[in-house]
Amino acid sequence: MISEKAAGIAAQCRHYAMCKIDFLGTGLCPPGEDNHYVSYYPQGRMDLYDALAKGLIPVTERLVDIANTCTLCGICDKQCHFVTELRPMVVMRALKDHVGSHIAENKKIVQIEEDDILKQFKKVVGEKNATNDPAILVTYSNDPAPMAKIQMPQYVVLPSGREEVKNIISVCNQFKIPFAVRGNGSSVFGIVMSEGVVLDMGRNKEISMDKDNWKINIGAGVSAFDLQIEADKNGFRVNSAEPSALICSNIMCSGILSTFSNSYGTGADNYVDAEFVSNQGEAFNLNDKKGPNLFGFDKQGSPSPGICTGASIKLQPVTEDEEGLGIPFSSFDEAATFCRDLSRRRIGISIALLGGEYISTFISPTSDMAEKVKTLFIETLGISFLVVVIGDKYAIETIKKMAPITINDKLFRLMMLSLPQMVAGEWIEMLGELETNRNLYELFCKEEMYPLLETVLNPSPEAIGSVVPEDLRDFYTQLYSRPEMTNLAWLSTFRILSSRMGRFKHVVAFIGYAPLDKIEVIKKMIGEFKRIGDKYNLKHDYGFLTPVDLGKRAILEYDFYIDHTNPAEIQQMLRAMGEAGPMVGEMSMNTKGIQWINTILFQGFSRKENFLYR
Amino acid sequence: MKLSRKEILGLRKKKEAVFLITGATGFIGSHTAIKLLKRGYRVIMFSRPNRGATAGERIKAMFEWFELDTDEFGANLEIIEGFLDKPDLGISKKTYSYLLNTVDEIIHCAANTSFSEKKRGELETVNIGILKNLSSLINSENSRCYFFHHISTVYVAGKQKNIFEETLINTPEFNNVYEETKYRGEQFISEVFPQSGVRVNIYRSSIVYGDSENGRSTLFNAVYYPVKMALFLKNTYRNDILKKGGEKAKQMGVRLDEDGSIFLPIRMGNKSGGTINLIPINYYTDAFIAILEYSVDPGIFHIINNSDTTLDDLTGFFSKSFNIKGFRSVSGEELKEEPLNALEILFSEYLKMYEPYIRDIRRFDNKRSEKILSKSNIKCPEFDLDIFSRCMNYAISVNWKNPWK
Repeated sequence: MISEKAAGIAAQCRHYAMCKIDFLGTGLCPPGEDNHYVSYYPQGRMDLYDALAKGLIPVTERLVDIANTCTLCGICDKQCHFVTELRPMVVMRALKDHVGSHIAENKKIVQIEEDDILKQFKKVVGEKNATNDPAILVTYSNDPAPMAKIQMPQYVVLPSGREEVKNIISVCNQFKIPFAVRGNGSSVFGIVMSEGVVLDMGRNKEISMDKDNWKINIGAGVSAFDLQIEADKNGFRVNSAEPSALICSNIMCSGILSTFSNSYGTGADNYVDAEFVSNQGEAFNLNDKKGPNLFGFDKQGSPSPGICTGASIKLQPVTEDEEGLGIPFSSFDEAATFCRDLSRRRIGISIALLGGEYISTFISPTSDMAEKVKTLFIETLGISFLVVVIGDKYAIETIKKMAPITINDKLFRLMMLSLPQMVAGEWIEMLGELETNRNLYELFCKEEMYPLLETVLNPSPEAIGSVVPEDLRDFYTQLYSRPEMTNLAWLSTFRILSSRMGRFKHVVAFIGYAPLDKIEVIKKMIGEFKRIGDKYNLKHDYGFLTPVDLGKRAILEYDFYIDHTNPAEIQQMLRAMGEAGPMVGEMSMNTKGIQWINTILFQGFSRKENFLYR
Repeated sequence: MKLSRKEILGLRKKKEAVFLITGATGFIGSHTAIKLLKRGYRVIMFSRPNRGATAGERIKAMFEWFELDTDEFGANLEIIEGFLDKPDLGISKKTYSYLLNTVDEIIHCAANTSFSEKKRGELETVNIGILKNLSSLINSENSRCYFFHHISTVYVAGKQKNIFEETLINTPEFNNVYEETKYRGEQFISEVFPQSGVRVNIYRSSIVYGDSENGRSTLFNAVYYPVKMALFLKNTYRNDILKKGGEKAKQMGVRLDEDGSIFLPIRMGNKSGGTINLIPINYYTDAFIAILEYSVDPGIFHIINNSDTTLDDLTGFFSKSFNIKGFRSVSGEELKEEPLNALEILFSEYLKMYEPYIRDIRRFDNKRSEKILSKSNIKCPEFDLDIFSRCMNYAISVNWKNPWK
């Protein structure tokens, strides 16, 4: 029996792969760690239950194993609730129940025959690491990206290291089987599927420090989060994007973009070297004189140069006095000008201009709370935009001189730990009624107000924990007792909050580069995205902006949100994309400095100069 | 003029005059509407929907607050839902036509009373833009309307320091956007409305608070706000002292004295002179109706209190009523000796906006109004400790909330 409730939850999985990293200190889903296939992680089990509900797969040997190895430990509930507010445990139980009943009723368990090709793959990667079982295949067959269509691969292979990849490609070429390479699968382009073979690169998690050369060497299976943890442990930082993204895949896809790109750069700035296997099965390195020139950039787009099987990533120095600081603004112009000013004066390491949607979504443990926080920030306090800077003490002191009103770590912590009191208290209502010509944040954020705020808001981990379902309250309380959970520098470095942007619905992000010296151009782009979002009746909002290359350029993100299980919304989204693409293309033709991310696809190793200044 | 004095008085006497009230769910609008209905007039209450409630639902809730039922007034009460900020008033052509053919007099109470420059756009729309929309209604060829009663404020006087008479004022500078937009509203109607033979009365009041007899009110800004804030702070720190060891209170310099009073260390700049002029809503409506019924010739009327209140009076009432100490007036130099604490920052922000009204040195002549009101023996009560306590205790009892907003 398929449970409708569980099937409904299962279909909502966003594929953000946050259940594949231990970002909350809960430990990882045990069978996932042992078996590597996404099918053994909660994400895969959600897809499996969805596939069973839709009658896409039979009960196979692997499916039985996947169901049986789930220990119902509950880690997935904590992780997934933190990000999306979904409760996968219902699905995990339902999957076990379904398979259990199937076995109890002596129904057939399908055994999939091995063919010659699979045998060849297994010779390369070992018995466990290649399969044609539909229970594995189906979890590699779809993606919430609106343009993605289901493609069931014939095989999934987990190669580890360059030699294995090389030999797998040889087999593919020998049998003329198409292949796609997949990191953690959170692709925004829907490009990680294939009718032939999907190479899941997650197995090679090797990390080795090379401090003397200020680099860290990683295998293709290392996630941004794990890399950052390792760097942090050794007193460094790396420039990395979404925590669940596998670094090598991320580089191949778009290059690394983050709020630290302000000082660490983007594209080729971040890598010392990288190793590849070409689509023809030949090995080469980024720094080979005779290898392909991956530093160049072709505006017309470029095919994939092959598979990145490892990389040496630059280590960045960290000082002990780093802090975070938020600078509130009521207008985009002022906020963007301030960001540019900081960047061109070389003040601050990470700089991000966040909109009200991001601020409220990131800091709120539930979407209901996020809505209230957004209203509080924008309508009551007047904070429509927040510039978040991470810098050393000199940078922080300087910024405080430049901006009269700031949110320091202490106030940020206070606010995060008192969100329920902030959004619903008599105190905030009263502040909202105060007649003033200023934005209320100018009063609220004054340092002299902190003692009063602490008294009236009474911040505590228990307070923020009180907004989640009862069975998760203790967990949240303990979680928010940890200082890093309310520390701007830590949160900016490890980025565990940013995937919350897909909590309300799956997010389709429009990301690119824009000229920060022409704020009116950026505003025009934002205005056009807004117009398109409104036209197609999609939820949409400004995402973030980060200065690049001393404020000459900026990374810009604008987001559309869709229910990826709703065909009507997908159609609307495709129409919106069909209009947004040419809009950006035209602006890119007419304005220097606009470069959209789809043109950078497969060119993530390019020198930034080659795509920012053309 | 569209109608003669005699005709107007005749219509009113027979209770055949139909009054359209804008801002009918507002503080002044609601009290005015009820007063007119109780006197037997026909009233059309014009209101917008708000927060999911229709105009009808809001007005029903409003009547409940007045302990009345809308049915009590039968055909004398009509409700029209619309949006005054839209050129067609947000109503159908049929309803618009009905208003043209039905409304004899308009009492324009709709206003935005915010002082905040941030809200300039809203204030300009409500305090000026709406008048332009109403002028289209009034100036239509087939409009019945012969009288426009404009609810205004004595503070259209702006930053001038004279004694202001009950005439149109020429004001070059204002304390805030509220004063400015109300002033511009007066200028507009004085120029535009009489052209079509419509009589215009302007009623300028000072600060209106709750009912002096029973303390009831639905608006808790102006003089209420600092009391609400201070009581909140008192309760917060009292709780800290009694239940949490009082560390935070100590840090702020707040203490609970042996006599049970709480000490909030709040210094206020001591500017010499100036008073606040407060009138209760019951006096306001009595005065308004008396003037409306008596004065058929166009005019401007000041509805004010002949007895002013000082800031020291207010803090005195407050201390006595709520057992709070610590508010003290200090010189500018003394204020600068120590940086403002959080409590002082809050109150100084409030004072910044209300200073022109709390320490007001403007004076308003009200001979014309007084002549009418004395005949009816309508007198404004002095704002004393009893009234203060009554009004504030009522506010506390309803948790400072308007039941239909």
